[in-house]
Amino acid sequence: MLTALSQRAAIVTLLTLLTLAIVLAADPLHLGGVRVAGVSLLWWYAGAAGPLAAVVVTIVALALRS
Amino acid sequence: MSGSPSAALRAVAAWTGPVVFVTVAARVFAGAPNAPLLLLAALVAPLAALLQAPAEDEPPAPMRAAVLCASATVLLCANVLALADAASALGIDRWRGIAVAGACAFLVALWRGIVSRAAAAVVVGVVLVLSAVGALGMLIGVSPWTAWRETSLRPALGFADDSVWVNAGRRVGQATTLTFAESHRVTAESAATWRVTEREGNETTTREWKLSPGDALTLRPGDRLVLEANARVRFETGKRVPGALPSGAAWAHPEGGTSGAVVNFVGTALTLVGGALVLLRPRARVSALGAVGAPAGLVAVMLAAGAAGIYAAYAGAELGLGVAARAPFLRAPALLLAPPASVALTATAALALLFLFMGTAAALRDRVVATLAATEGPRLLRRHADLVWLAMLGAAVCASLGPADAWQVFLAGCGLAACAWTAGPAENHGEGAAAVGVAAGAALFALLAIGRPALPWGFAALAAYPALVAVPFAHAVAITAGTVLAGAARSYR
Repeated sequence: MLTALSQRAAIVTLLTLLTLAIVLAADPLHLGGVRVAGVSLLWWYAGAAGPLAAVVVTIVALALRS
Repeated sequence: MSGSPSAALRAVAAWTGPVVFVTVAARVFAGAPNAPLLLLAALVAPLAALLQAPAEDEPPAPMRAAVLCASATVLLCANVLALADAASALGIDRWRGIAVAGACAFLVALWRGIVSRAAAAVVVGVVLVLSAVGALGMLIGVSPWTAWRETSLRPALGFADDSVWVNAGRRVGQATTLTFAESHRVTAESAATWRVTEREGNETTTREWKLSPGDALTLRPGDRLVLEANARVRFETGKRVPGALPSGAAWAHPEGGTSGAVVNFVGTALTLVGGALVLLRPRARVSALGAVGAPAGLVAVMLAAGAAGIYAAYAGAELGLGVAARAPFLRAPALLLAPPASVALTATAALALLFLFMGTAAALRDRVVATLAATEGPRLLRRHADLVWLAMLGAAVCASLGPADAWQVFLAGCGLAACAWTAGPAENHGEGAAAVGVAAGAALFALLAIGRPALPWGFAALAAYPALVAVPFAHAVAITAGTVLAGAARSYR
């Protein structure tokens, strides 16, 4: 039961991470274009924070499945 | 955590082939509107697939197995095409790249010892990719984020003063169309016929010019120049690279917020996720090593692809000219470093792509043979699954001889596979109903994918991502067929 729940939660989290990237890219306020340390927020998110968060979520969910 | 130590790595090996790496890097280099999103989607899709319960005790229904095998062949074809593109970018004949890829795939198919080492091939490929990209960054002393920042600050993406394109000139390799954003004097370095399309208001005029070596044409903003394959040309120093984005700011902030770009990305992402859920489902329980190694390997490949694209953009927009545009990162070391370091890094990157391809070929072969052996299909197919894979491999290699976009072929494979996934929940209505749904979905997918150019405008736009139409259709047909079959069974009783 816990396994199925954690798997579903992990998949929903992954899809949420992807959706957040779309929101950041399509945001009419252009928040994705805001520079942090010279690099745009969209690139920090899609090229660093998002991938790392997705990997951590997956590893934790796979570990919980055991 | 008990389980196969390589089940997860074998599952993701089908995804980490050259086509994903080359495409992500090329899109990042070109400043494509959805490049950062594509990087994330190409990572999230296989991770979501890994989270599924293993398919060890579930023999696939024959129709689902057939669709899975067909999509595996398409995916293999996409990876062969990507290797051919990489060969072209290195100045090697395209057919030689296909021949090398085909030979590697046949070796994997015939030598079972290699098949069992699909995970090892992927690990070697990942290590080589990381070495090539990491070493490039270290040797030039620039991190990927610094390269991104410096590229984004360039006022114009133009030719460098010491570029071969503006000094001795260079062959474009493939037939190329260049669009000029500013006045530009282009010199022919070989005898050729150039076709120039000029725009005056709403009218366009096309003229052909027969040029001898040394002859030059001055093109105006908006003009389009069509060059034949292997035409040798020289551009003007200090001018913008034709076809490239106008500035670093335009490269760093592509117009991704338009509704068209968002729809385009959603279609791509859903197709990738749907395909991954079917093609990458682990066949055995994931071990502790696999639970960490597979996601870590995936993120390493995707981030390396992104970094490779950024370094290529940092090296110069001229990498987008001619055949180099197909895999610009392979030419980046030659612009940023001197031999022998540049040669060593290019060779490492090319070898990495070859290892990743072998891992993919082994993983796809493994998946197809296991599916055929487990399915309740004809006995002949089950007994000679290896021969079936060899036939599929031959078909994939032959198909890759024709001109095709590797990424579009990859998306087609994912979309076709997705048809087999969504009809899964409809299996509550019976195996026969699910088979009807999968068959109908796959048929509609093929119809839309092949017949798209002939469709009227509205339908053509809808068919840009056939999986978005075919997958719900497969599901609906399966449910309808289940209801009809159940009604018929009740009437019979």
